[in-house]
Amino acid sequence: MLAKFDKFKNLDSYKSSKEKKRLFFKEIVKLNNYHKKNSKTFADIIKNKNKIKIKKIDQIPFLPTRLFKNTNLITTNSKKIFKILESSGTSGNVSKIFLDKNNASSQSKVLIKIFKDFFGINNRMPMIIFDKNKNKNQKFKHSAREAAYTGFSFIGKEFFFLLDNNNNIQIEQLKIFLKKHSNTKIFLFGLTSVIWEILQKLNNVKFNIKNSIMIHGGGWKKIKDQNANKKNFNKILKEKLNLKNIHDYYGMVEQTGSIFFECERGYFHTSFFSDIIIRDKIFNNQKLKKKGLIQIISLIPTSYPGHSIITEDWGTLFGEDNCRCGRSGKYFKVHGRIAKSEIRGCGNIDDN
Amino acid sequence: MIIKEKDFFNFKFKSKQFTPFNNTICNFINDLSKKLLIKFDNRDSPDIATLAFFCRSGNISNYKNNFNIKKKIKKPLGKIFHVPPNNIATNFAYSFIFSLLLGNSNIMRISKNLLNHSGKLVKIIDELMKEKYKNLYENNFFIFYDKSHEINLKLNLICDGRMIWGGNETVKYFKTIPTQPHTKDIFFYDRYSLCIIDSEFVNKISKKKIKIIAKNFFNDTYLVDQAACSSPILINWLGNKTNEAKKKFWSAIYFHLKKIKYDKVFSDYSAIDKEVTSSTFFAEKSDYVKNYKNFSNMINIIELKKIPKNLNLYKGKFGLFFEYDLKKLSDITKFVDRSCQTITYLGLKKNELVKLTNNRNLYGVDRFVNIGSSLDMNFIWDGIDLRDVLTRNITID
Repeated sequence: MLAKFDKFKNLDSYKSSKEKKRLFFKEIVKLNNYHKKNSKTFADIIKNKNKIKIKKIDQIPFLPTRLFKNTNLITTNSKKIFKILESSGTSGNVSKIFLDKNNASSQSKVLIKIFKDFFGINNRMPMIIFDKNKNKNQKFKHSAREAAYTGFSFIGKEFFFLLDNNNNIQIEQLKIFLKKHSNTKIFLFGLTSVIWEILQKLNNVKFNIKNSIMIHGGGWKKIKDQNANKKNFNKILKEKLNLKNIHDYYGMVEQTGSIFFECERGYFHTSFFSDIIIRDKIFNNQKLKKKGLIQIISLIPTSYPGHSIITEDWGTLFGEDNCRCGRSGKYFKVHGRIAKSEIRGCGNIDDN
Repeated sequence: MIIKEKDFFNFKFKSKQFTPFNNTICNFINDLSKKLLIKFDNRDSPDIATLAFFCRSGNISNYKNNFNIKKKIKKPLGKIFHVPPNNIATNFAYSFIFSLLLGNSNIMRISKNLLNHSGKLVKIIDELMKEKYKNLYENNFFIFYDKSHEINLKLNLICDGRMIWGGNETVKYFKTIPTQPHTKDIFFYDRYSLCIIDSEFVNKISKKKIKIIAKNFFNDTYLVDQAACSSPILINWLGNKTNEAKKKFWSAIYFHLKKIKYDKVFSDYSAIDKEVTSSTFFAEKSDYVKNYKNFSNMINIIELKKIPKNLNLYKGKFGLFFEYDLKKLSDITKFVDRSCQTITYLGLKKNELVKLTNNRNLYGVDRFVNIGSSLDMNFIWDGIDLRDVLTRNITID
């Protein structure tokens, strides 16, 4: 980030104070100005939409997520781009996020930091990834899915990919892995939908990894019609693995790194590096405990103007700095993708 | 007759035609008009009311009389295959009724993802034929299917004419499907539409009048999420004192939206969609932007300094409009292309429009209608008179 990450290295991501909030605001305004200066496209967009001087966090202009699908937005020297993250778009259009080394490095640094601060875990753990190993030939472009487990791999060691290249579950290898690490805390990670589908196939197995921890994210949309929800998901994990320490996270490829972990009370939390604002359909601040559009703010994006984004997800804010889990920050719930209203028109949406 | 996808391949399609505007057909259409008025509530479904109004006996006999004046021997084309758009509830019905009135037998592709509205409409049409018009029932078919290449292949080979309503992708797809050498095609491709308003006219009119205009403008645009080909995307202003006129016009729209509680019902999705379209435009065409106005995410207006090429690529929906000041009417020839379909107008005289159409540089525009009539359907659509193309002339010398 523009302000060197080291500057924030020692502060606790989940203990807030007035000074930290002031610091966050100062940094985000600086970042916004930086992007304005370094991308004519970004400046052109926001000059038409935001005509007032920014005095409060909710006056920071935002871009809609879909814009990253049809516009290439870069605010670093394009020669410095060394990695492009791509969202897993189902409609053919994918978001493209352009990263330079600096930006990529702050993504993983922040991720590790907030993980440690959130869970109080400082040692690397043997890691089971509910996925297959990535295609090593593809170095430049990365899917959001790969980016997710790559980011989290800094928390793990002795990696075990549960799927082989043909997407078969490597059950025998899993047994060996678990036997080897029988008395250790294991870190399990994967996309919610991938984990769910693997769990459906894991018949007649029972393991006991009671003290281990699972982090999953990516949402329930793909598996909604399979009766998948948090309750069922956690129940199956308890039955098959005796796993209880399970945490969802909310995040997207546009703000990789500064994700929102779910606490023991079932709420996602902002950290020192992030903020959220829930907005109504006029884009005014939504009332507490009311459903609205989620805007996410992050200090990380420095090579593209993704520091403030209005998503197409619905969420509800429940409070700030007083969650009963003990961590500070805003805490909220996510209700999934906004309903696509019926678009009428002369064109057939489904062709032929 | 309604045919299910699974029964399709064992089904033998009859195709008996009638003479255009034959009594049986006209009686059926009149009966349909009455049925629609009973079965639908006018206030909830103004589009059905418009359809019923089109089908009323006075209107149909007018068309019939005009048709017969020409004193030509006219026969229907034969068996017509229709691919109507899914998403304008009444469109398939117009496509069917136009073709039927001209004596054709019809095969309608009906999407399984129908608006509730059109499902009910198909049923009413089908039941009425079944009860009272056996002859029509046995020669007109509604097939419920979506993406079946096999069904398309078969139907395209047995029809004498095709009515394919766009998008362009659908048109392109059907152009690759083989038909008989004699099969006639009518393709409706992606279109966009404009509006032209005379400022002085707006500045002069009464409060009562502007309220009616606001309601009419709403019906052209918001009623169909501004997504119909004939809903205007660009509002052009003529004359002096345009600022005063714009203020009066958009305030009237705003009050109408408030009055019908549009602020309560419009979706979060539409707000986001407008945010995406406007941001994309600002990113790609910022040199063209004069100003951006946003009234509570209900009315969003991008004022333009000049008109970019392919403005229709940034087609606004849910009440996102471009706005432009014309120096003179003929200036529209500078940016109107072949895809421009309808111009809705306010305060312009007919002779001015006739003069405009005589302008050699006017490459597009098929239709000028008053604000409020953009969605009205007629035998002439996209510049094509269906009474000519869905029939054939027999000459005897």
